Amino acid sequence: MKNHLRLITVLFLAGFVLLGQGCAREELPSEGMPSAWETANWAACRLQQQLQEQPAAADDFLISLAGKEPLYAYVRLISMPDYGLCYFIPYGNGKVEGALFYPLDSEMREDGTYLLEGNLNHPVNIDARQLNENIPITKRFLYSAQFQALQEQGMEVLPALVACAEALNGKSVPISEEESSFTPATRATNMLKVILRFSNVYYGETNSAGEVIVKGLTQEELKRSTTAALQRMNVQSHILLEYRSPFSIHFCISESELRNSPDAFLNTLVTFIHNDLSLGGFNVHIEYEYTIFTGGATGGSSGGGLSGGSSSSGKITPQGDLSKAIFNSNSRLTKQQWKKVEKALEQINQDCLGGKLIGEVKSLGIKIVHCDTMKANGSYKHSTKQLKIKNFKESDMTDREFERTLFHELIHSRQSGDKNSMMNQEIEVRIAVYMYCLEYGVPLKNGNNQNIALLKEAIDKNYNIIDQTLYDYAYNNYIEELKAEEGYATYPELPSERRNLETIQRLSSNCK
Amino acid sequence: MKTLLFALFFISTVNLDAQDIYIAGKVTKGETAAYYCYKKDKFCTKIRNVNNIDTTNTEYYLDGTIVPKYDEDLDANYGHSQEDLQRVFREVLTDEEWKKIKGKIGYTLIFSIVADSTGRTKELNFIFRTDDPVLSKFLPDRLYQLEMKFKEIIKLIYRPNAKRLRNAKYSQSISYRDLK
Repeated sequence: MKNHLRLITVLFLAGFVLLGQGCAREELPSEGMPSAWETANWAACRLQQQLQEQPAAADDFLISLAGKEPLYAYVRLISMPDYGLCYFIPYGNGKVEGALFYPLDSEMREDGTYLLEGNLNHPVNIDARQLNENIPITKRFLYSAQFQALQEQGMEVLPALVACAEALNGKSVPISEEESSFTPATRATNMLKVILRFSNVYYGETNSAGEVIVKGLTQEELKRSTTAALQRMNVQSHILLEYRSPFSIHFCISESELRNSPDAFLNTLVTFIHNDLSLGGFNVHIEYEYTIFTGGATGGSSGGGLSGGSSSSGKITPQGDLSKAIFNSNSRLTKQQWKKVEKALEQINQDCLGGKLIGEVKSLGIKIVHCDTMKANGSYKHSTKQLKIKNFKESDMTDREFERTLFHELIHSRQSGDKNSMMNQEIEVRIAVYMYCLEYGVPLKNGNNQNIALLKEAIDKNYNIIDQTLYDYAYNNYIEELKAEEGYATYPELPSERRNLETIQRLSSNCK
Repeated sequence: MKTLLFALFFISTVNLDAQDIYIAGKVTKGETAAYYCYKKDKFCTKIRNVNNIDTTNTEYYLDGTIVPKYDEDLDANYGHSQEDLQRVFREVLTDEEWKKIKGKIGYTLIFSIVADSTGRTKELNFIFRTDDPVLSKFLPDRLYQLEMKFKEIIKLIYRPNAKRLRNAKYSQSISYRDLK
């Protein structure tokens, strides 16, 4: 018997060892998965792993491919305004005929890197027809540029996929031999390897003839602007590296060229680039990331390097008393955004429940982040204490909708964050937000407010349930309506938690 | 026999008082308006004027594109107050009716509203408790009077440079417990 147990244990451990031998050798469980899967591409490996863990997503993947051959060597993780973080999976036989954009859940961590959470959503197939007929002209450039990048890597791409990017003159100058042959091994001194990532690189407007026109920044223009900014900062020599994705610039400079800390240097650099590009009408958002390599190191982009974190153009630490008290010093927003945050916090603080809420969140060390690619107006992640806001509405001085979003997410921060009762927690917050909006005349769209209006009748001002039958009826209807809304269909719900309004009851205790 | 006839008469009288004016899936006609009861259960009755045509949840921007479901912002303020709603409600009800509902806990009148691009109310549906002591007995013509009055005062005021909607949809409600 002991021998059997030992054998089982050995086999079990051996299974783990085999699993850990790199994904390039793993077999996909789903029948019919394309066989050409051997690649050293990290993003493709990660995709494979996620597909193995999620058979339903693997099926979606196969259906969307419809027999097309995926080009795994070119799979990349990219950020798209429509989906957030997603896999870009080009496909085609001989030439690129389209790509799947496969969104996945992710979370931005304190250090600015993404943590992939493993959940794949639904793939979107973009072929030439889809791109040119169904993608709005204001967004087409962003998709087309992804295909153009493939073309610049030597792939043959259907002309219709790159036509939009080419129409905007988006051609990148080939990397010189000197640049492409550069390797870290040749460095003699400490080097700073920098990645600049650009967003908001296009805009649309109506011209005097009433036509809608779109302007987009080309990779060449980004390189020109970066080079000019480096020259302006008296950097004598720098090396532009081949870029891996559109709208990013990679370069190396010697640490001896810096006259200040890397962060101070890069903050000034991105400000110069931002100002330069704004002359062309672009209000780009620039994020940087850098790695310092010690002299003589031969490692890759991360081996032996010192992580330098990331920052953004014109972004500063919390401003205003309440903002400083609530948000941690890693929070970076623009001055105007902090103004909005402070004003909203002041308003919330004047409310009885809101004031108590502000008091409780002061000790949490929440990080507030601007994330304009998310779909919802805001989100809060308990594991990282990260509060994301989609739109600060900086230019609008009168609306209280940002305040409503902030109030909503701050209440979430005081809940348990139990993943089994996410729907219950969402409803609890929505009840409080509804009451808040009603009290201060903050407009709310339909958003299932009819059932909340009924729920309101079943509770008193301190959120104690006074009519359980009505409450249960309205609550049940509300769940059904929320489930029909995008993003809430899969929210776990616990019937035992339906009458749990403890957070808002505690926050409103003693309120009249 | 007389007793039996009296009993039948009594029962029919009681039934008349308790009869359902609005029945799920049916239209109730008055002289000036007709209302369709699109949902009715133990707790709630939902009715709309038969002329209301915008009955889906879809909203459109002025350029015809669909408003994403997750977009909760109206870019507008209410052009009316709670007091305005209560005042109009009071004006239409009799003293006796008002007495029946004022301060009544657990009861509410909810409006489901469709506004045009200027913020004016185009369509308005009524939602009330099925056992509402007043509204469940409101005949179509009186309901129409109420609808017209509320349509006059309920409006959105779009902010400057707001991205206007062709058919903004939102709700308003009057909580009976707040009525004095």
